[in-house]
Amino acid sequence: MNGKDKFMFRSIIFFLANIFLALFLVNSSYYIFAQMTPYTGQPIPGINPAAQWAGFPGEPVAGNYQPVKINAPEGTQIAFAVQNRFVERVKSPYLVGLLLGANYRLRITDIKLHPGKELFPSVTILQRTYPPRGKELEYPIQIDLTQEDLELALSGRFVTRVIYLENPQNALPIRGDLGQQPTTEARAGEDPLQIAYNLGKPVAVIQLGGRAPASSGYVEPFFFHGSPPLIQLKK
Amino acid sequence: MWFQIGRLSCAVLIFCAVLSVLFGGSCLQQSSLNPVDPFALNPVLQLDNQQVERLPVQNSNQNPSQVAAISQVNNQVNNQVNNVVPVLANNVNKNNIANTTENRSILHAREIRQVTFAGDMARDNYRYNNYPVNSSGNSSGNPAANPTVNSSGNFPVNYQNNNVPVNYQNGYQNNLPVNSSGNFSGNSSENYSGNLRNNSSSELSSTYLGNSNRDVLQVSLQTSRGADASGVSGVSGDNSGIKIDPALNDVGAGVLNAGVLNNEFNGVWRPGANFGFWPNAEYLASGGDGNNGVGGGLGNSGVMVDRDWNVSNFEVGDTVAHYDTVDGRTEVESSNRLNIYAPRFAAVRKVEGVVNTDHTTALAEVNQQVRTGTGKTAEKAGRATQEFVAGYTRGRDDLRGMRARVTGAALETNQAIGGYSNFEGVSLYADTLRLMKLGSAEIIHLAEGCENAREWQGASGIKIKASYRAPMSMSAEKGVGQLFKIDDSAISDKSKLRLIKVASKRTAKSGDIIEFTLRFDNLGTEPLGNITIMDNLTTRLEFIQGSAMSSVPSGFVVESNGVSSFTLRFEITDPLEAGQFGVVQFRCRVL
Repeated sequence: MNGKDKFMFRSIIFFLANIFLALFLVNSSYYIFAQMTPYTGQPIPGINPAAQWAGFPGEPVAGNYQPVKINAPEGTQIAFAVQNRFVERVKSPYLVGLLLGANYRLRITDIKLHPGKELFPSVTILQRTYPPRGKELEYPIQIDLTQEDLELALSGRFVTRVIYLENPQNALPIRGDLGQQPTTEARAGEDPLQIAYNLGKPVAVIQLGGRAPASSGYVEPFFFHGSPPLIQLKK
Repeated sequence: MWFQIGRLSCAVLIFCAVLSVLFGGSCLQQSSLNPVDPFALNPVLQLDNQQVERLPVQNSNQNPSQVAAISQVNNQVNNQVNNVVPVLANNVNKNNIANTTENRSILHAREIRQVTFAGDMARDNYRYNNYPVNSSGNSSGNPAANPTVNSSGNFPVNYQNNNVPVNYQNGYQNNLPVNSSGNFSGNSSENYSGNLRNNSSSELSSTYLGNSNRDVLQVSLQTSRGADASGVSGVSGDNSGIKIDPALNDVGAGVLNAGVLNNEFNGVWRPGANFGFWPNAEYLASGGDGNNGVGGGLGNSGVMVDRDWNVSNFEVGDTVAHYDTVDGRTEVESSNRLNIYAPRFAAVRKVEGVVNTDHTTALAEVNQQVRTGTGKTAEKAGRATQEFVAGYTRGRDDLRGMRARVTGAALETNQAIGGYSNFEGVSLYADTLRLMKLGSAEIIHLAEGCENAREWQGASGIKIKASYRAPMSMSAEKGVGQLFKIDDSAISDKSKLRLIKVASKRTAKSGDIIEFTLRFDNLGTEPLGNITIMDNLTTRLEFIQGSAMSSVPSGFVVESNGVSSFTLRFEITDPLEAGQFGVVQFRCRVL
């Protein structure tokens, strides 16, 4: 290969490399743009999803403590992460004030029929509520975890629950004070957040299963999502 | 040539990189949090009964001593509620205002829903600059008559001592100036007529005054009917009074333009144009007519009843009454709308999990003999095992949107109604229901639901509604008080029904029982016949069988409304004479 051929070969390689690089850049930016479509359930990887959701124009900004009541089967113990470790365990139900838009890690123990097993769900508050003044603690966001949820997570499944406020105009005429929280199942390929938006106003997301801290004792700090502050409202 | 191609490709690369930065950057920018609005987190002011009780309505033509007295009240209130400046009623004919220092807001039941504490609206006024707000309190007083109005909010105002609202004369419709923080030293006796639109030919009544620093009490006076002197208690024969411009509609057009409404009366925060939801998902609305604007709807077509009493546009949540007049017409009247805080949470669950599956693809064993000339070979196929990972988990295909009926059948049932002559038990609204006197407690109770709902919602500005109906009685407390009268010289309708709806609870959880009470009054001068009161219950209100009662003989019908709930119908048997009233009551369980 003479010098002219080498130059031509290098030029071709350089040209093709640039084309591929250009295609990659344009495609990646479009990909990011497409991912930013609100409420598609496809947040940008690596960026706090709650921050993305809560940051859309017009949404309440972070900074509000929202009373949240976590209901788990009787006897279950719940502990929130504070300063990268799980502190005091509280029997369900747990009334706690959580920051809007922050991710919280909690630990669930004493699961009925599964002694010694633990789960480490993540909770995110998407929206606040607007009760009359003085009624905030009386009407917290209610997150119900069923025994089936816990057992599915223990069996290796990943369970996502999107909690939403029912639209009074099309709410189901069922008793809300009896039995478990009215629940709709998202089928394979469906986005639970989108379904919740169709049915009402999503206010919280809880995900459990799929993650467990290392058994060696040391837990990476990111596991705790930074241990955002919370207010323990009731033991 | 290749060198040129290389340079060209570099240019393409740079161009694409720029595109990437532009698009990617904008996207990432979107993902960041919005700038924190310091006002968005401010709590909304809420007054207790006494504070509201002391909020006066001022009138432009009151004499200085009256205004000064009012200002004292204002100051007291301001001290208590952080400079809330009360409301100004301008263009009220002083002949129609009794001298009193016990100024009270005079609100008809239909006006109750308009009472709103809307947060930092005055701040919004200032921000959007669509409103002539004198924010700094440094306006120089004693302006000359007919001064020039400048654009920065220093409108000519008539000041009285401290914190006295602006006094306007001669029926200005638009851009009501605001005296924001007091400390003015103006000339109280001046009348001004700057560049504001003068509508002196048809005097208007409106109530509004903002406070540039803090919260604003926003009171809307909605006069749902005209009034003649005979219909107004205590002022018989007095034909002077507020004259409502017949051109006004119920959102106060002509008083505040749409831009002002959009910009300044939408509460503390509101969702963006594309996303976001109002918190009305948390409030259970009951009553009113959602279609005609009375109950908060945007449409113009409300419930309609034809001569055969066929009802149309009767939507879930509506509460209306229809009746026949002496001259053969069938009229419809809606109640006020209640907003009960009763959130119900539900969940959407998704279970995911990757399942490893051993998928064995077994070929049939082949034993093929190949015979050749030189020999034969036997080949045997092996057994292949291939792992496949499921693309998605097995999904549950549950029914969605299935509605389980809780009670009742879809049949129309005629039920016996219990006599109900003693409504002493409705202590919460005793004055309202018995005497039609709206005291402060009743005002609070009636208003609070709407207030809570509207605190976070938009479009609640000054609203004046004029209709061409018959007279409206006004209530006063502790003496003569203020009196609003409506010029009904062009009104000839003598048939008028008023329907008020109250609830025993303002907040409710699933399972709670709420008692609804409806009072209907014949405010006209002629009897009303075939009065039928209808309530279309939402799906979250379950009627409790046997709970319907009435103070007058009536039939009671429960029928399905087609959306898994019920419509209640009270059919009043006897005509209702002028000045008479009745009460019906029923209970519901919140689902």
